[in-house]
Amino acid sequence: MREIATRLIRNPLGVAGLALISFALFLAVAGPFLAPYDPTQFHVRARLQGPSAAFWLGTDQFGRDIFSRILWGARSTIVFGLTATMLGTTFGMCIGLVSGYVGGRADEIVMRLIDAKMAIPNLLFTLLILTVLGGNATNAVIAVAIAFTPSMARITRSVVLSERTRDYVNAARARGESSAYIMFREILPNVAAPVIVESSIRVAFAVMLGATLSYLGLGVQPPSPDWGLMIAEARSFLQRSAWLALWPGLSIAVVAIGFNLFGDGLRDALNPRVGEA
Amino acid sequence: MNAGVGNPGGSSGLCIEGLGIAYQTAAGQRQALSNVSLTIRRGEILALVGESGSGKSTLAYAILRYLPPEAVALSGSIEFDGRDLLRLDDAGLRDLRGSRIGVVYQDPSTALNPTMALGEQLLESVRRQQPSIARAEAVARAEALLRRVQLGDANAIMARFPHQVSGGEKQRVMIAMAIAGSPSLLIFDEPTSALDATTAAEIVDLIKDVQAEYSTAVLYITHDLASVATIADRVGVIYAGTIVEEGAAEAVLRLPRHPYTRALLNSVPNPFRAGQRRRFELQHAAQAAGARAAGGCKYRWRCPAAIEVCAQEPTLEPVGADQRVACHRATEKGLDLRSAVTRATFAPRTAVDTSQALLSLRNFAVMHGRRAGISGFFGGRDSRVAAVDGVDLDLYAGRTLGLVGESGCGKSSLARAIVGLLPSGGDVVFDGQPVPPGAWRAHSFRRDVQIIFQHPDQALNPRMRIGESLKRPLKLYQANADVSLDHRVAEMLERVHLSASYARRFPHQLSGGEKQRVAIARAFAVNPRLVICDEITSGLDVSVQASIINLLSDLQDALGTSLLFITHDLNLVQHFADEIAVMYLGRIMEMRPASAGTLPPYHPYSEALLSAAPVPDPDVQSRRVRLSGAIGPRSFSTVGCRFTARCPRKIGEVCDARAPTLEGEGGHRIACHIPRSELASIPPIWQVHGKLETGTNSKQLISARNETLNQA
Amino acid sequence: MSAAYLLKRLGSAILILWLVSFLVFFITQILPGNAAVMILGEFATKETLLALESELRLNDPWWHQYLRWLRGIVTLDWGVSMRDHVPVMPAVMLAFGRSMTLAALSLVLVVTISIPLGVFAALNRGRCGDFAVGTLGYIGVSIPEFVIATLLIVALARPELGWFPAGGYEPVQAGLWQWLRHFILPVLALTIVLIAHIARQVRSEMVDVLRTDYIRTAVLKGLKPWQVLLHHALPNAMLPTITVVALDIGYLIGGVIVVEEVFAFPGLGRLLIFAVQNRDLPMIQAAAVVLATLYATTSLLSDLLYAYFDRRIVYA
Repeated sequence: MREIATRLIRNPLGVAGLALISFALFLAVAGPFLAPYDPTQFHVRARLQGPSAAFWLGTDQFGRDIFSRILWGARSTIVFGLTATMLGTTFGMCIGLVSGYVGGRADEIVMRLIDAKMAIPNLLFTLLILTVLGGNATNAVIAVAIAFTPSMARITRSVVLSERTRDYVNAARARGESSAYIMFREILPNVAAPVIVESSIRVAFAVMLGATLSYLGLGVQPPSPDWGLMIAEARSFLQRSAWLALWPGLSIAVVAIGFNLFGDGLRDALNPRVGEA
Repeated sequence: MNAGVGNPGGSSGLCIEGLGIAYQTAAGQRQALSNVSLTIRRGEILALVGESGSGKSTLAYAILRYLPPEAVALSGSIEFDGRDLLRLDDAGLRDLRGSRIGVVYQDPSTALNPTMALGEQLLESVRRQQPSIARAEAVARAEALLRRVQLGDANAIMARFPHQVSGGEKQRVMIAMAIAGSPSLLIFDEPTSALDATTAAEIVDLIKDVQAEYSTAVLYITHDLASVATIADRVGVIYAGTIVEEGAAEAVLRLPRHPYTRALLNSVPNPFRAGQRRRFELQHAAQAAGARAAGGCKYRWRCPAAIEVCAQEPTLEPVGADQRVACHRATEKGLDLRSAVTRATFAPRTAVDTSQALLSLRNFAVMHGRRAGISGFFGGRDSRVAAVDGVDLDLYAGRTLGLVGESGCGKSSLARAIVGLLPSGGDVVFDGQPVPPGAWRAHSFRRDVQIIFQHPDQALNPRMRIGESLKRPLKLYQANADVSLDHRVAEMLERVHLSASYARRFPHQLSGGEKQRVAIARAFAVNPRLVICDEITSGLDVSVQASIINLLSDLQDALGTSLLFITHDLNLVQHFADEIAVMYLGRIMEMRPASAGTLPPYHPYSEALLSAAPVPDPDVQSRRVRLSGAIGPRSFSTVGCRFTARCPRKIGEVCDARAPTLEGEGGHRIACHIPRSELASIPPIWQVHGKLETGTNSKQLISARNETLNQA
Repeated sequence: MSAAYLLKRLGSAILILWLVSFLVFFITQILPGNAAVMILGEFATKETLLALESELRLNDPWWHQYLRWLRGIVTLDWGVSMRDHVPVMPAVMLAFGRSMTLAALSLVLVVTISIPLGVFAALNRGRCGDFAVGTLGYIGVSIPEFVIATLLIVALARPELGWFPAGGYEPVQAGLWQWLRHFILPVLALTIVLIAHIARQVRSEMVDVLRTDYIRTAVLKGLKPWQVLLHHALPNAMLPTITVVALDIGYLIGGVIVVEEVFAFPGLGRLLIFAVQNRDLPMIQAAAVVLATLYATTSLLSDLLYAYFDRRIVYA
């Protein structure tokens, strides 16, 4: 593990990603304390202003301070991305591990169901689920987690299938170890690393998907400060103040770039052969 | 043969002078080759022998100027046809590659473009020589080349894709591509190491044949010193990027001067020592810190004869008629390189009680593949085939049974089925108790029968510390609370000559040989009665292999364990097994006691295997027996003898109609329709030419030579 | 590729479509427990709920409901919109045609730009060009379509510029340019992410191929660099790209939904969002099944294409 960390530090992609993510995490934790204004407070006389000394990034149509809203929004965005991905990864990993190791008919059935889910694009799938559950932040997390589960299960399963033919697994079977021991103690530690790498890239997708759902009105609800929602609310005012869309758009992109870079850096650190940029 | 030493020999051929190459890494420069000087004249084959990481491939690709960008040439020159290759520009290089220099690679299955027909790939080489040639003419030329490399059905081969032909056929196509430009230098980069023994022997024949016709200079890179005697005129031995010994192949093999060459030659299994259970000469493990240090003799860190003067770098000095050695002590008389460990012998064999076998298999069968599941509904079919069937084997307590066969013969399936990793049929009796069919095994059986696998990289869980891996069998089978597990782990490591500190390491911090030692320690942890070794040395260098075999034999002598040793290397099992089973396509062809040595009678397949095994001795000539066709599931008759399609001694319809059974007395049984007396009267495979005529005396000659070798 | 493989692959595509239909139905109609509440909202009166339940026959066992629904889907009787009370089928098909045009234009643009870009980056590995493509790639894959679309409107669809409309749709009858003008910004918004993604995949495929032994063989045969590239590297690198493109079509479909919403483009995506907002169950189900069928069909096609070009494996 330590070697992977050093290799990650030596990797320029990983370092850039790590820096961006650390910055975003810092904002998620400290943002609300740093915000100069209450994110929901109206400044009626200062509506749709550009950046100024009083309002660093300008104000929106209600005169709310965009900088404060961006700072507050960091928390919901990061929490959304991490929770949804972690839930999806955990479910997916369990399903993939058991299905891949046990094999046979049960595996066949699980795989066909996963294929069916994979035939429905993620956005469409989350839309369907939110139609049923009702659009709010918690349900959006659940919807994205469910949408991610099958692909994580499939990735886990493919790693399990290659691991289970390895001789250390054969040795454990010949030794007479129980299936549970082999799955969770022998195979799982070897599966976890590549799967976590995959899921770290997926955080970027989750952030983007979450923002899209908020934009469509099915995620975070007003008046909460959320980046996707901020763009949706600004739709009618864009021709008067482009800042309204620019700042939250930029913020989403920075976080997504951070996780993309970090994930790729992690992947390279784990698999040095593909390592060169 | 005895032209002046170090004489470039005119402008034809290849002359490397003082070549030094380093790789630029994050930690600084790593020297890959230093001060390498070699000459290959036209019409000469030079074999470059070295273990993995010795820099032999770097040298080959330096000649072709195909090295990764991190590689920098520090010094020297590579002169070829009067030009220095290190100073050639891109156009000049392109002109050279594929026309003046041809290359054949290690693994033909990755060296050919998988999405291009073989014919197209060969045509590229043909057209590269004559770009204006008409297609029909180019095709005719390509087909002629394919016939030249003895691919009979040239027309059909042209249309095939790489995955549709066998490994041997692919390598023949590679050779055809290499000779398309009538090159004056051919480079072979371990051309046979990915092939089976019988196929490899054919490829070696072909290489010699082609070389004689074109009278090219040949650089033949190999890790296998034994094969040198068959192919090379000259041999260069490379260690840690330096040439330590160079000379006429005969001279070097007859009287190696460098301690490394001697150790290498002594760790090659020599079939003339069959049945003697002689210890391999061991190389001392390198002291890690010094291995890559600059200055001085590179080998001094492993050399049992190292003295103070070795801290100065030795130069290649002529010794004898046609031999150069880089060693300060090369000419000293009576230099004994054997350590006390090496001089010890194994315990002599006592008579075995053959009334009851420890493990008996009767009519044993293994099915492979999968039943059609849900996919059967959509056209998936039941794809199960018999990997092994009708096998009878007996294994006695404290003895070693060597099971030999080529890839795909079912030997690994047999091993896996015995321990219950694959479902099997037939009767298995272990220690007098019948073992039920299927994959279930009793607790006591799992304790008493252990298995060690081929790939050391896979055998240990990469995320588990060595100590953790070693504790598992103890936890499962020995609930002995008196001794702490850590203490037991230290003992186990000591048993395989590793220090107790290894318990805290992870597998990737160990070398291949060390990993395999840990796997052996784990297998012997609970004092099993039988250990199955499935190709456990095939991924290792010969010197490491030798130490592993010594270790196994020591453990067997100490604990009385039976060994089932599975390998593709006939010479290796001949060296230390008590009994040898030869397997072909899921059946046992022959059971021979090691005491039968290398003398007839042989099963025709064993005969071919023996003929294909290289002997590291210039005075031994082996009779050529070559098989036709390729091994494969479709090439066997279901009712007749499995070997009939490729058998050079097939006698007639009876071979196709009825499967022969193992018959014979004195533990030497052969499954063949040819009468035993006839098989016994065929000449032996190996003969020492010139000096002595009969097989028995040749054995004495060899052992006498081995003695002089150690005291030269 | 044999006829048996074709049949087998077709069979599994049908199986998957059937499972997809089940999944869509299960999520939208079974999962909520009470679809009537979902449709009418939490504040509906008891009478209207009961009326709707009996109209939809929601009290039947679920498999009865499913079979009835499936029969409808298969026989192209997709019901009546609960909001506009118009038949679902024609509305969906009209919108679907426009969405397909949008997606197809985008895909053509993506493939023609991203593949040369990826190859270019791989050939210049470690140099400026590679770095530039890599950086743009990271930015491209990290901006959601709705952000790109919004920024495009802000930058290129200002009324004072008069270059492009900020949204909407004109039929071809209004003139080819008028029709095309409405596509340009949506297509741009859809392609940026995909170009970035596919170019990166092509690059890494190409880098792997350039490292293989058979490329070494080709170089050491003395072939010219363009021969190595055209005859050996490209064919092998393009094969996995087929799969990547097919997978990205799923992403493209998601993108179409969002981008249509941003540009008020009257396609299937906007129809779906509108239906979701109005809880128009038959419309949602029909649109979802159509989109999923589209995706399943493209992955079937890509598999067949792959099998056709791949020489290595026997597809039996």
